[in-house]
Amino acid sequence: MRLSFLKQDRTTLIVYLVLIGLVVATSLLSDIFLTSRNIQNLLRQVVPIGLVSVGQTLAILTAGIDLSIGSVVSMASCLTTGMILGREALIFPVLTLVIVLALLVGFCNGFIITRTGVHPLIVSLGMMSVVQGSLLLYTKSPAGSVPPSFDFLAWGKVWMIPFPILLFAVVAIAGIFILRRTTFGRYVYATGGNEEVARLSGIKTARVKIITYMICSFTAALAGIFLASRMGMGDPLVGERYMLDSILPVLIGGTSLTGGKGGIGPTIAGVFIFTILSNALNLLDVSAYWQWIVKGLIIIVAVAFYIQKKQ
Amino acid sequence: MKKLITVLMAVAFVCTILGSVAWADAFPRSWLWDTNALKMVDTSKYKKKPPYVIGFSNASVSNSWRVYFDLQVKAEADNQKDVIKKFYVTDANDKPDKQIADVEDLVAKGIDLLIISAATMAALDPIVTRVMKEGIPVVCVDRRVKSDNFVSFVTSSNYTQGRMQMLWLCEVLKGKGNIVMLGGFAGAGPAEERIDGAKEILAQFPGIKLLDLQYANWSPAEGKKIMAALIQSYGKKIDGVWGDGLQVSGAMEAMNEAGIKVPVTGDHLNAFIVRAQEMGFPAMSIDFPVSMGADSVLTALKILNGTPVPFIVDVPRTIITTVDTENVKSDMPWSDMAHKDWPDDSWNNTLPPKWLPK
Amino acid sequence: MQALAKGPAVRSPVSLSSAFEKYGIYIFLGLLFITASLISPQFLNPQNLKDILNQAAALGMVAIGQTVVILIGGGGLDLSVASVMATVAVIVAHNTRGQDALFFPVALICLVFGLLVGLANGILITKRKVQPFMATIGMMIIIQGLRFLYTGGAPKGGFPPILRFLGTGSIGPVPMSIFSLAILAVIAVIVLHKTTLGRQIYVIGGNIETAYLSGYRIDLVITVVYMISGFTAAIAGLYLAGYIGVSDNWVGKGYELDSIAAVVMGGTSFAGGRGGVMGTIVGVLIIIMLYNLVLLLHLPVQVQYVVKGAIIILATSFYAMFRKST
Repeated sequence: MRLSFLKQDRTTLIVYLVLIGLVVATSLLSDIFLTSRNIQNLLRQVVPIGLVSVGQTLAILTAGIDLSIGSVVSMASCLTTGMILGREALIFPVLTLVIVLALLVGFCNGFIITRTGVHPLIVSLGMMSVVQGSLLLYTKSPAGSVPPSFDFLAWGKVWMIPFPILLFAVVAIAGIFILRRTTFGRYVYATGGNEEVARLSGIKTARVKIITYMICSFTAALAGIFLASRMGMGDPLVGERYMLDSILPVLIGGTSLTGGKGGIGPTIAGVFIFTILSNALNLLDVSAYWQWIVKGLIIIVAVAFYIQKKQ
Repeated sequence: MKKLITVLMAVAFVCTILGSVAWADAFPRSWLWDTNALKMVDTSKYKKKPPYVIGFSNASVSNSWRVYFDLQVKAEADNQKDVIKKFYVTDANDKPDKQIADVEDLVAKGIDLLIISAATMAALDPIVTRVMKEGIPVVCVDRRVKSDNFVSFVTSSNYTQGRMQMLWLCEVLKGKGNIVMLGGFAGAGPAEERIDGAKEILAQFPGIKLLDLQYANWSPAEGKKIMAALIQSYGKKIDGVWGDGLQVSGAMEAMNEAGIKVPVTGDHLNAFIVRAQEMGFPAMSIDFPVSMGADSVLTALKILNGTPVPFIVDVPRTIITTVDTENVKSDMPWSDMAHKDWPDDSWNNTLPPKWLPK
Repeated sequence: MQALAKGPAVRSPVSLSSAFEKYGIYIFLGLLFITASLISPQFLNPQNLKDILNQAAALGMVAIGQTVVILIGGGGLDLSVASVMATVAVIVAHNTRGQDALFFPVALICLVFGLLVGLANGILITKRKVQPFMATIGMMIIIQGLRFLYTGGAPKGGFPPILRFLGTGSIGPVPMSIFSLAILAVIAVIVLHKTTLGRQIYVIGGNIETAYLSGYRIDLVITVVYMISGFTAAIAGLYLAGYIGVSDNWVGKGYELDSIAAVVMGGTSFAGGRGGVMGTIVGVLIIIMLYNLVLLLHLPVQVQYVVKGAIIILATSFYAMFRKST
């Protein structure tokens, strides 16, 4: 057990070294990269991907995966703007409702996965289809509006620091705290490491998994609400990209799909690697087709580079 | 006497004006009659000395229309390279959120002007508004943002496209029959706008019945799959097919195999035009011209030169039909637009030969 | 890991639930078929059935490869298949320019391309220990970039008549494509159940320790499995291109997830070592029939999403519950 934690920390170290390497390389290649304006942009771009990746990390740690995350992001963004419709008084009731609905989606995911034993990939794939379809029944085109004060979520600042960064930091720290310092966190690792052993040692693995998927949907809802604020309008297709964009940073961070290994720390590095890569390719004026190739190569090569050889 | 005639003429003149205003009021105001189209924008405050740095944020190059459009922008920028020092292009892969980031990246690179084809109207609105506030002029092309916070919008109307296609279809069917509609991508702006435009016209023809509206994701594969099922479901009852893009060529394959040759509408995709001719479908095509890409660069240069530009630049489009109807006439013979030696997936364009995809 | 004691050689005792595990998916297909023909009079039209089979062919071919990859276990799956399909379609259109004479050499190149992609996936997964999800998704993005660089975004050329015949023609009442699918399926069944390779795939999927102790060349088998998947994806790309008849940058879009859904609905387990090709074919038929039925009933696109999702969950749960009780 101890040994594996040490090994884990080695992976984390390498992930952060890769991140630092990327930052150094990019700042050498582009003189715009380290300007304060670009850094602020980067931080804002990190937020939605970061939020969903924290949730996804938990799901993957239990040897699961949540493909429905993108549809929940879209749902949250559309319902938020569609129901608030610019009325300030409705902000809190609507946000509560949106979060409750998201938690419900997460509960359904977890419940079906644990009750039937169907692979999470399939359950969440089906759930994605159901949520996306229902959302398109609700609205087919971008709809709704938000009051000016709602802007604060995406554009506001608390002592010079953009509010969304704070939000992300709070969620990430809470996630790290839960995983490292609470019983629940230990249960998550145990369930992902070996479910059978975990169950035999008295852990209610089903409950652990259900809560994990609820957390996952919760972070997706936060991301959706943030996007609603950033765009001022809900969009039924906005979340599509987060299905993959939530998983890749987690895997780049070295968290294993087989569960039990990894953590939020490396995921955050993964999120930054992923976002900085996009930003750098833009700044370096790389054409769209080459961007795809470079991204694909980096996903494979970076991971192949620091992966631990199985014994 | 002279005085009387002058007075009478003046009265007649005033009456005509008032009358025409009242007459015009009787029509619903829509995009076509939008006075914004005529509004000129003073751009003197954006006047700058060349050479310029211009950024182009493209929504995506995920289908061939967008590829040709993208090439037209780049070709025109290249053509103007004596005044354009740097022309940055970003591609958002159809992800509104990535496009926001792209625009931020472009602004960070110190652009003098932003050309944007917005992935969605709503999502890109705040960022475009912010860019304008910083004093960087924005030209929207192909798809605009929700608010009026840009200098000029270079486009052809999606509503008009939907309307013209439906008008031809209804007229060619002589106002009687059953049709199906094959839309683009559910939830995507241009798809929904064209459907809305088409439905406005459909409402004027009570004899035309809409059997079904399905979304075929602008994909020939989906178009064929869906049309095959619709044929099973309605068979010979289908008298016409309304479609707005790539999916129509797939749908025609399905109809051809089932031996159904009913009027179809589409746009200037070579696969559609050539197939309609070869298979003998009565057809109508109106383009959403890829050349608007070039126009957006020209408009951008006018703005940086301080020349006034129209708030909405309506790029000229062509209509071709195999059969003319009362209100929809062909601008040229159908066969002039059917290029058998061109790739299936190519669009009628104004690209110099060296820019054509090889 | 949980399938520790359940090698392929161990036959579970005949009981009601094991019968359900084996035949549940067939029962489901039967029920769906009966329901469909009851609620939609057009469903049983010969032409409609032919359409369904034609559409099932390409998905079925991809799904066969996907089945083998998922059978190998260890999180095996292949997300690069749709990208392979689209690239193959583009290669054919570009290089044959619609001429029959060039079809066979070009088709051969396509199949080699599929095999190469599979080889690259396999090497990444076995030699560099990259997780299959990661390796194949990276490969998907790279191929996509290469395809667009190759075509410049606008695929040229056309499909030769032979390919159109393969995709849409029929011999008597049987569509040509379903004929090919059947041949491919039979080959797959024989390979999986009658050859050493097949046995090794099941053993590695069931319990990699056992396979290791039996001295199997595990890395080689895994690489071969991904090559099979690349190969079937290339064939599927050819058929789908022949079926559509219009070249497009995104032939096969969505087939990666649809094929995985079909495989799992067909009873192949993500844990590996359990399941087979026949179940997958049934899974494919269910997905295509469902799609067809929703269209025949004139339900709007939104309902299609909901129904598709619900049925994927329902079918797999229904099936998994019986499995759990064995």
